[in-house]
Amino acid sequence: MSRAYPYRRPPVDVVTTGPWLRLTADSIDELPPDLPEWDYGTVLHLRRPMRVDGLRARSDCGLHPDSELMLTVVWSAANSSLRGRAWQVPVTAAAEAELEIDFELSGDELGGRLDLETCLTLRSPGSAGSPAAPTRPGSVLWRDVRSVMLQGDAVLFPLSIVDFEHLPYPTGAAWHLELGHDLESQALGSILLLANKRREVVTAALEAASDPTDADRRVLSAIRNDVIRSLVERALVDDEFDPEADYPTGSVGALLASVLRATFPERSLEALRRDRDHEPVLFTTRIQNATGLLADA
Amino acid sequence: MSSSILYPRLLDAAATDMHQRYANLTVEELKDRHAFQHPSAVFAATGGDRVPRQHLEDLRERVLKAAEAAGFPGGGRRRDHTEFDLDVARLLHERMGLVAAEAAVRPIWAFLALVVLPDVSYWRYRDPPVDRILGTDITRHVWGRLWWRAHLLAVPNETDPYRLLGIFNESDFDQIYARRSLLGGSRSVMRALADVWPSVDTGGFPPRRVLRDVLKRLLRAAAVIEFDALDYADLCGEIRREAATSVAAFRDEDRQVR
Repeated sequence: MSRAYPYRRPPVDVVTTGPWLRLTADSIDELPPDLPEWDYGTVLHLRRPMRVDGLRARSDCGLHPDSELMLTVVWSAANSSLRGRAWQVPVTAAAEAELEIDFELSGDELGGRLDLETCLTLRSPGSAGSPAAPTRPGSVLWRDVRSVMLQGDAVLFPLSIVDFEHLPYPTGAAWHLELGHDLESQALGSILLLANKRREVVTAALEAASDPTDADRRVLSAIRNDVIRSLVERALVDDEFDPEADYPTGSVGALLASVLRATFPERSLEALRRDRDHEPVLFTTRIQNATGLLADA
Repeated sequence: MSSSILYPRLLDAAATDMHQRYANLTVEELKDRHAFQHPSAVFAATGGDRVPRQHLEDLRERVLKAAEAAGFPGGGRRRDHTEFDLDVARLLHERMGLVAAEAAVRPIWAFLALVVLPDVSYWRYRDPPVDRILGTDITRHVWGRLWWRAHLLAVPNETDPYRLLGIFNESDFDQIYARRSLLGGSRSVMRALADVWPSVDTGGFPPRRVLRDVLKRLLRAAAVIEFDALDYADLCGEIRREAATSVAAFRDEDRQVR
């Protein structure tokens, strides 16, 4: 989102950022874009080295050296729509302040996409500075955002292994993708992959998804292809779906838009709807091609 | 570190079908339909412990007791519903053992409304629209919205962690919660707003009108102000300031009209 700031801000190079690091009991690694093994019980221990030129940060936006600045990390989670402060320190008026962001984030409030926003803000303007200087506490002078996908499942979505005998679906089916109607609702709370307990080859492959055998891999490839097909079909038959709409992050609508883009990057929604209506067999073949069905089997 | 209690997710097809049938039944008839499991209610394979039956029985018993105090199965006056909502918000938040990410899962609320508490759900809202029951919009769900209200306004380390629960009435809270992606998702902003609000001088203008305007102003400011970077006292100060600006703007408008 581009913002028009009603006050002067320093150039971005007053802050030098290091990489986000994840600490575990026996290692420190760079934070990857996805954490597939994360679940609600996981405590994320994160660290990030930073260097802030506290003198220039003040002078370049017209603030007096006695103004107070803070460096803060704010987390926000797409799944719960919650946000909060993870870490904060004051930034002194020194030329090269070395700071190390270091905090733990428990899993209670998280899920889906986690955004970590690092920001340099004004706490108090101190003695009068330039008329263009920020004055309001909380004014953002600099910020950056890093996202990481948290998901406790290796198969795209929350999974449930159940006997289809008890469900309103054909008992001989191997799996079914349960998908909510509301395009704005969070995908992780609206999508559930149901696997039929009676199809042991399927349930075994899903349970072994993090370390599959060759046979499991073939089953997982078939499930993946079918899940993508179901999502593409849903996008095409839902008149309310608009790939250009600004759906909330992590929502069903955003997921459908991203699946369509990844599967058919060159085709418009209208063209895909025509393809599906006029050449339905070729259309499913194209989905096989896009998902690489059995390619690694 | 805490782990969530997992609740079953009632599949959409079954939930829609049950809602259609239940909408035509009386509260007395619905009493006989309550259960603690359902063939179309499934658990997701995510971290956490599956809710034991006894836990659901206890939850139902407590909600029923609160409902009876508010006139269930009879009509109950509007005031009783307000008190009932506050009691149940606290009860669900204290007793369900949910983490926020699980509480954002719509079909668990459909399970609670249609399987565990069908009689109380349809008593609380006569002829409810589908989102009150199925949770298509959690901010409107008969039970989900109460859990979230308690979660966003709870002050965990205080003697009465739920002291802010009754500050806003239902429609005012809806105004705040509907803006949750920028404001309502921040528990510190929510708490500060609830803490400050009773002492705000609305200058004789309807409090609801002032609240709506303050929310708009906060939302605009959020583009360049990081509220979560503020100390609690500064945050309360910012909210008071916006309220004062809002009232002053209303006065100006009034003067111009005259």
